[in-house]
Amino acid sequence: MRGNRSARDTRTYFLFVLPSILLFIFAIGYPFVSGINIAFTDWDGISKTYNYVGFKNFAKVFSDSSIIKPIRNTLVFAVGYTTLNNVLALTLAVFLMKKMVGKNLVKTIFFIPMALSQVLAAFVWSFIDKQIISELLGTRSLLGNPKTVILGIIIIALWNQVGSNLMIYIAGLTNISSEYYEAAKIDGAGEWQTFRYVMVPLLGPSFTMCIVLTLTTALREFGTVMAATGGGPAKASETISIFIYQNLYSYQKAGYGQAVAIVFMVILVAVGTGLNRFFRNREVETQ
Amino acid sequence: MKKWKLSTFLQKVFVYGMAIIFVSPFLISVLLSFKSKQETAKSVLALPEVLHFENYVEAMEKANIVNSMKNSLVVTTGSVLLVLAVAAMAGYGIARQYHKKAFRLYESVLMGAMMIPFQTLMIPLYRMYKDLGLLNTRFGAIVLIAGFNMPFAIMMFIGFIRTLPIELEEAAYLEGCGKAKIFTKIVFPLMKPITVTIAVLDALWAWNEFNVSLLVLQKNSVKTIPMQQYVFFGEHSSNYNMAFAAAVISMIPIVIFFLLCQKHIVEGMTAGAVKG
Repeated sequence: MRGNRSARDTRTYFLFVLPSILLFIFAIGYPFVSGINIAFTDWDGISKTYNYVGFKNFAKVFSDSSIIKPIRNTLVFAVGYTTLNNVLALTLAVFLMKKMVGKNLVKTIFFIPMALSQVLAAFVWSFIDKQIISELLGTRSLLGNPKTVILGIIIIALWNQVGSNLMIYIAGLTNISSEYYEAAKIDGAGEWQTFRYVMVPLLGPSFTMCIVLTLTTALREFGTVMAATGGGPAKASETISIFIYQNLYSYQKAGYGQAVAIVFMVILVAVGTGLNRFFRNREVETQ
Repeated sequence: MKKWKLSTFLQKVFVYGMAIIFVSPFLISVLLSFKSKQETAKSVLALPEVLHFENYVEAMEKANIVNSMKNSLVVTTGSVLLVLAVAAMAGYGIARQYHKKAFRLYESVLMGAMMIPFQTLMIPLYRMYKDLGLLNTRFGAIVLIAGFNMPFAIMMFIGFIRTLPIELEEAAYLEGCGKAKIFTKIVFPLMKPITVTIAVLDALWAWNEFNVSLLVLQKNSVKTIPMQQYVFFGEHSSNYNMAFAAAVISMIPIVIFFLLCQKHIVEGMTAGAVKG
């Protein structure tokens, strides 16, 4: 009897899960599998038909010289953005642990740009970059210059998104028991020592989440770059994401674009899992 | 009296200085939206002599704001409701069968799916939507946005439901209550806090969604606000004042929403970081 009830329960619970499986197959599962198929074809993104070309697209990924610049741009953006984002978020979070007039208002000011779309953020900052910063400081526009365009995009993304890491670091610091801070004070630790020997080790989980998530989202960043520069000037800010998009819409090489997308995903998953493991292991050591 | 410390002072200067930088784009947007073209050309940051409301009138006419707001509302509401319905049920099913390998395996598949970049699905989705005739439909965008937000929502629901005691459900079961009734009458009401958090986060993401919208919503009649502006800002980069008026109009509802729901947004964003 017991066994019957358990089996019937499993069937009922499966019915609860079923709609999500259908949605998953529709939005992710089927496109994923059919994407593998497309990567082995010469589909141009428009025609109804295509030919299978074997591993040609994948071979091209590793011999195509036009892909080197997008890879470089993606890495510069992702590493630069992840570093600056975490440094800024952690610095602000630590400073905001102090008593301060209008602290909640200040926090809200840092959070509120998260409410805006990447398109809006890019529009407002492009204007500031072109009309205000250059006018006030007499410098050239960051976004208009191939050498500085990625820095310009990093600034836009920082303004737009630094709030989420700031939230996480603030929560992490607030979560550290006040006993630790008091013990450090009694031992005569200065501010820097408290930061280095109390906050940093105990922020383990926050570091893992902030660094890994920021880096993996930065590597696939699309909207901010698209809205701010579209990859320009002269492809100086074309990232892998944009390169893949262009292969579908502009270059009519959807099959090749899909092969790039699959290699890109494999690398992204490897980097994500690797980093996650690296930081998780350090968490255990330090606690 | 506490000792005045240079380092504390400098820290505060840094925080307040940063806050000024962070708030200034909003102030600049409002300022520019009320200036005339001539005033802007003379000096970008000077205050206008009179408030030029005609920028707003022009923006309302040219930026297709009413229509794109409507599309954004439909897409956001639709995808949030779809995610909540599907993910709440799935979270419940998985959490209550957590001892079964198959259910945990499905959870791992969902977690793995969160790592797939949109670009890997973009080309096949475009092809699939073309074949199904779902390009340029709000329904098509709703289903995809819901699908991409679903794994995160299911994770959150599983975590929450596993903290709920099962005894209540057992008792209802013994009294002859069916599983569907147990879910709708007992479990779902208990899940209210996590449901609100997920709804708020998903609403924010759906409202600002770019990837799916760029792929699916290309015709003017179905464009959401970000898509409308993506084109509009490009076309009207010469008339900044009107473009800023359009920007300010579109900021107002989402900024109000954010301020009202800030508590839930912070909760959702930090979930997992503290627990580790």
